[in-house]
Order: sequence, then C-alpha cells, then structure tokens
Amino acid sequence: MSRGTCPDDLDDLLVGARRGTLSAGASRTLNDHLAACATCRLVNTIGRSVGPLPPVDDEDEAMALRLLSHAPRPAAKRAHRRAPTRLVAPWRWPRWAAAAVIVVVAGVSSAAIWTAHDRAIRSEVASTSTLNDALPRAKHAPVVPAALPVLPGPSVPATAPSTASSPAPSRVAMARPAAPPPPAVRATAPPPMVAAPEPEQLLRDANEARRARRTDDAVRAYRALQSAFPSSKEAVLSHLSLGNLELERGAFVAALAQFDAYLSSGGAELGEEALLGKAGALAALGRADEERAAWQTLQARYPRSEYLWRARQRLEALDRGGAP
Amino acid sequence: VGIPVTRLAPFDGGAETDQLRSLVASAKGGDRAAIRALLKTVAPVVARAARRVMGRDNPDAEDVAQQALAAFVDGLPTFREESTVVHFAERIAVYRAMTARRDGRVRQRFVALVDDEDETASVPASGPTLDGALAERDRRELLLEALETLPPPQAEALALHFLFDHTIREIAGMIEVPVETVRSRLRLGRAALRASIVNDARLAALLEEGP
Repeated sequence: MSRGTCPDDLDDLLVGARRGTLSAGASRTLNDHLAACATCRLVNTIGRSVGPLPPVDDEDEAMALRLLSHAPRPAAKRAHRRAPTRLVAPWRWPRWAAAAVIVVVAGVSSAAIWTAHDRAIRSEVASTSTLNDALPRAKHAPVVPAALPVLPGPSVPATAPSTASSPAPSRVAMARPAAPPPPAVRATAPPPMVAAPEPEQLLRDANEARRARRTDDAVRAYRALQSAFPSSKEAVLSHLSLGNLELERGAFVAALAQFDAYLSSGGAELGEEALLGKAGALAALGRADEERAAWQTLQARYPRSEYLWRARQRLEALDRGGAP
Repeated sequence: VGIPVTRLAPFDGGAETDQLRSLVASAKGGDRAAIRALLKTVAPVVARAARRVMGRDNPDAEDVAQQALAAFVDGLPTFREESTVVHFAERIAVYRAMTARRDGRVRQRFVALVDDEDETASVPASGPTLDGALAERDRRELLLEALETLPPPQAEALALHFLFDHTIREIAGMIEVPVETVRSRLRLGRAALRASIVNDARLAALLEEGP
C-alpha cells in the first residue's frame, strides 16, 4: 500500500473512469474513495482537467503524411515556426552578440552600482521584515537564474536584468557606470512594485521571481501581497510559498511564522503541506516537542497523507533521541 | 504496407498483431521495407502525441514528431517488446515533446532577458488568466507547465498517465521499468505536482473542485 488506505490500483481505476471502462462496482468503489480522500480527488480533477485523449484525427494523419513524404509544410505555419532545440538561429547572431555585449557592460557597471548601494538595499529589505536581519549578508547578493542556457562567448554576468519587462534599465546603467543612480536607474535592483496590482498578479510576480531564484524579489513580493491583500486567496497561498522559501534559505523562524499563518488563516486544503513545513522548521530550530506535536497533528488530521512516511520516520527518530 | 491503425482508439488493449510483431522483427534486422511500414503505422500516433503535448496548433509539434520518428528508427534495435510498438513510438514522442517544451521555456526566458522589443513581442505576453472556469485547453497548458518543473522521469510518467490515459502496467512496458518503479514515480510526481499547484494561484482552483 503506497498511500495510506488508498487502493493500490487507484491510478488504474482513475484511468478506467476516464476511459469509461469501469464496471459499476469499481465505479462505486472509486467514488466512495474520492469522497473521502482529498489527495485522490485532486488527482482525479487533474485527470479530468486535461480532457480525454482524442482519437487520431485528420490533422494527425495529414501531419503523418507530411512527415513520411517530407512534403513542405503549410506556408502560414512555416512563417512562425522555430526549430525547437536550436538556441540561436544563424541569422540572429549579430543581434545576440550585440545583446550579449550590452548585458556584459551593463553587468559590470551594475556590479559597481550594486556594491555602492548594497547597504541601502539591505536596509530596504530589512524594513520589510525584521526576521531578515538574521540572514547572512551574502544572501542579499543578486543571483543568476540557474536555468539560463550557456552561450558561446562572454558569459552572462550575475547582474543580468532580472525580468522581461525591464530590458531598458540595463542600457541606462551602461551609460551611467559610476554615479549613484537615482531610483529610476536601479537597473539591478528588484523590479519596483509601484502600481497597485491585483493579488493574482502579485502572486504571479512572486512565483516567477522564486522560480528564477531571485529570492529577495520573491520574498518582497510575497510580503507585499500579504500586506496589501491579507485576506485574499492568493495571500493565504503565499504563506505556504513564502514559508517554503524561508525554509530553503535557512530563515527558520520566519518560515515557521508563515506556516502558522497559513494554518490559522483557514487554508485547510493544503494543511498537510503547511504542517510538513512547520515540522521541518521546528526540527531545524531544535524544538523537538513542538515538532513531535506537528507530526502528530498531521497524522491525526490527514490519515491518508502522502507525508505519513515522513511523519513516522521523524517520530521514530525523535523517540530515539531527536537525531535528524 | 502499413497496418491500418490510424483511427486508433485512445487505447487499443495492448495486443500487438502478429503482422506487426513480424514487422518489428524484420525492421530490427534492417529490412527497410519493414521499417517503412512501421513508420506508416506509428506516424499518426506520433503526430497526435506531439500535438497533445506541444499544443494542437503549435508549429514546433511537427519538428518534434519528425525527431521522434527518427529516434524511433534509431531505437528499434534496442526495443525489448515489453509494450506494443505503437506505445513504444508514442512514448518516444512524449519524451521528445516534453524535452522540447522544457528547452523552449528556457529559451523564452533568455530571449525575454536580452532580446529586443520585436523579439519579446513573439513571446506570449502572459499565460492563461486566473479564472474559476479555466478552459480545458488552458488547464492542460498550466498543468504541462507544472510538469516541466518536475524531474523528467516523474514528468514523463505523469504525462503518460494524465495526458494519454495509460495504466501503470502499460507505462511500465513503455518505459521499460518495473511496475513498482512507475508506481513510485507517479506517487512522487503527484506530491510534487501538488506542491506546484500550491504555488500557482491559477491552478489552485483545482483544489476546490469536487469529485
């Protein structure tokens, strides 16, 4: 049994339901289980969300014929197509090279700017949360998105522009290499959250920053969301996201506060994840009794949780003396 | 001579015809006519798989399908026949398409960072919007985006399960690993997918839906 009391053949039951091949008895079994298990309900919803697999249609057959005969593709499509695996088309080389030069120069000048204003930026970060005071200084340095492809020639500097919406500031920074920049020229600083965006936009920005490993930007955006729209669904979700982010970067007290905020905000649907994060933060802080309580709460509230194995593992470790 | 399976149902039961098996045997031996016949058989399914993952109107789908057919021919000598040859080809197409999507996402991010205005204009300005009634197509796209963030083996297993309605045993045959391995990848993938959904307000609506 892989998932608590979920049947081993659950995945196949779900496939059978989508194919419409389940017997009445199997269908009843599945529905009874879905009514009782939130995780399996989510899995079922995902399966239904993507829609049924269609049979091979005329367009598939037409494409197959083209593939087999090497026939030219329709002109309308060819005009927009790009080779999927080629990173840089030959005719784009001059533009890429120019862009790379701009980025390199901007990066060098931005590094100087960043150094000069590191203290100011740190103050700004600290003002968003006193919990950040405990973070090591290096954590505030800008980070290169890990997934960037490597181009031939000069590498992308660590201070490359951070979002798609702000390419221009790099060029401005290149033109002003040494002088302390006015606020509008802070090319390497996080994108300003100036407008009053909707909560979903704030959450999207924060998530994008997190995925790009612009951790400070992400933290700021999550906190801005929580501050501006504290009761929104997005803000409730953000407690979990920010909690995980704080956990990743070792800010365990801050992480714990976020997980507790989620749990007390009525976001019960993802309580498993919140309890998992809370227990992890407590473990890192060495608060064994509270960690034990968190795991036990998870066991009691979510007897079919995917994380039960982890709870059992940690509780056994705590019984043995608390070794991680 | 191809086998007429172009109107293949979503699932064909897994039984391979004797004729197809003999074609596979001949193709493994380098028989060009047999390879050609197999290609005619699997090409529509490969096309469907590429379009299912890449998007029905995505012009890159055809390139992906072409690459998948080439990989199918290359892979025939090592095909262990633990699944049907059609499923073998479909799995290759899914893998290729998932890889292409992931590469494309990286490329888009980089283009958005350094390219000029007319280039960034070709990158979609925004994905599907937050809406309680997301279109099926948008949901599929969002879920595929979420799959791209998972380790490839988990993403592949989940894609074959969710997008192509394959059972655990079928997936095991397609990717040539034990059933328990597939079960484990699906379980881990589901947990990771759930975590992705947590972090995406557009998908969070899924959490509130009933059975």
